Amino acid sequence: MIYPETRYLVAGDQNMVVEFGDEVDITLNQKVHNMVSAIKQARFDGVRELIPTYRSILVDYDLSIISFAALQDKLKALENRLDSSSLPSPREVEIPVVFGYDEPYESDIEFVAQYNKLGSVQEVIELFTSGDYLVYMIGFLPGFAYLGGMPRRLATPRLDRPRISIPAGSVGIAGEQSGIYPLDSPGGWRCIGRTALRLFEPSWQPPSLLQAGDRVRFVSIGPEQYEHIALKVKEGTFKMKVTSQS
Amino acid sequence: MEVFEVLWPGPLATVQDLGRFGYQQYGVPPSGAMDGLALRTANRLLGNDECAAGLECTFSGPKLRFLNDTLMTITGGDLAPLLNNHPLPMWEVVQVRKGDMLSWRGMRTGCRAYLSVAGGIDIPMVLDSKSTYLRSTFGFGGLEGRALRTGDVLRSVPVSSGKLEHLIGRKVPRELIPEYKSFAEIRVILGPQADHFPEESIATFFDSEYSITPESDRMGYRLEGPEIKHKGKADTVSDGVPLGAVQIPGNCKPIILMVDRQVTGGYTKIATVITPDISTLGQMKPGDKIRFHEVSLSQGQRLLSAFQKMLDPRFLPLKACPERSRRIRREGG
Repeated sequence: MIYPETRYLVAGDQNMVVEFGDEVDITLNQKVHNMVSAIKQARFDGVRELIPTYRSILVDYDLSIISFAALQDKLKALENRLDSSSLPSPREVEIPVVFGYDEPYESDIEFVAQYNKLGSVQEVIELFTSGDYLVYMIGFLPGFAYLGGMPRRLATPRLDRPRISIPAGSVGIAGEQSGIYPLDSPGGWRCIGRTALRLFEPSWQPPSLLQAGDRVRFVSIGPEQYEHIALKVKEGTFKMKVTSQS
Repeated sequence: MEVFEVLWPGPLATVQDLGRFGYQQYGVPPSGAMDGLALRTANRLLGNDECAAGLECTFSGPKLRFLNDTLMTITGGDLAPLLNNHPLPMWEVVQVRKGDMLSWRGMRTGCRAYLSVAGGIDIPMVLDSKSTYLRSTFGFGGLEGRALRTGDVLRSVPVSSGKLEHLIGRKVPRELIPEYKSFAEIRVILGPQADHFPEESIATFFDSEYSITPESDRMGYRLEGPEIKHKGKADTVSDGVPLGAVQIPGNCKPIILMVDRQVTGGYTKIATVITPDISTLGQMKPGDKIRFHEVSLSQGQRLLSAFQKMLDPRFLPLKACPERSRRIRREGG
């Protein structure tokens, strides 16, 4: 639920948790992103780092500049004017995916279709690309975006045994959530396709392609287009489609 | 200039500075020295920038041959360093010559030694830090995100030699050298999710001794000891994980999250270790025992202020670190 009153919790001597609720929910998460934008705009002295999550913000603050109580007062005041603040509109990022291509593993897309009693793999692709996704938060791995907004008819449980290495760019489903692996890593999500876009690169500023609060749309592409994009990404000439919503 | 060559890497030596800040929102852990106090002290002795990089040597150190004359200091855990086979004093600036050999006899007290050279290790910054984020397939920072290997040659930031002579022999007064023991009281502030535990569990948490298991590393320390039962489920909706968070997963055994932690996680967090005691934990090894001791937020913050004063250039001059102060201001915008 979304709490009637936001909780300001102590997390050690330099961190505060601003907690709006205790569930995975788009409205709740949108409030997190609005509040993060508002805090960044307000430029409070002593606020060092903000970590937006599904339902809360971890605020790293400098005690020598601001006390817990003073920070709490400022944030409460900010929260009260949140509805009337003008915040930057979120970015919309388009991610091209080749579905059913998950080498060196067999794609889980057939399983997702069968599990959800859908007629065909094509139906999975149509449903998946019809979704309007929100980046709830980045975590688990550098650049790993937890996405909300997948049609419920695609919800599929994780693998019983995680795979030892899932290649970077794999698009996966875990329960009602979806996400994209930014790096080669072990993982237990059901993989249904792959993007040639690079999701994380330490030499970039910022290092992550996606940021908490972004909107994401997936488009289905064929293997030739995938190879073409992969080549352009490698050359550094790929132009990603990013728009700002109004 | 080329400062040393690695003849044998030892169990685990990585390049670290005080950490990588501002990127947790992109899922990037801060990394950095596990015992920040020891690394800071080493840099201060040498007159280096506060954020200069050194080597973090775990359980034992790397065998090194120096390629140029320089100054060096070793702080932190006593891993019994030897220079040309003679015991080397720690917490003191020593002069090393081209051709000198550094070796180690191994752990005596603590478990992480910090080796700093004049100027600090010269290595490219990745996301504003020289720290190594150690991961087999995708690590970054330091030496390409990996530990030192045989044959690596490291460079140091050049310093004019005129500035160095007077530093030889400078040392930390004995009473200010931390004592590393195999038992420590670790002070914590309850929360952010202490309300997920019944009173009996909170009592067990503070009344019991926990030992550090071998499944402990720069990401976190898994502890063995009495179970901490939850009121309800062990899992919660994932949220941010600060340094020193004490998580209680489904098996009811605490895990303390350290510098290479995942920045978000879904286990309930009963308490958070205060910053001054992170360095203490950084010197503790598998088999060592701890007991959690509760402090209030105001007590914890007083202890932090006192700790920060100790880091002030009171007994040794400290050069300011402009990058760090810029980093602190940046989050505003």
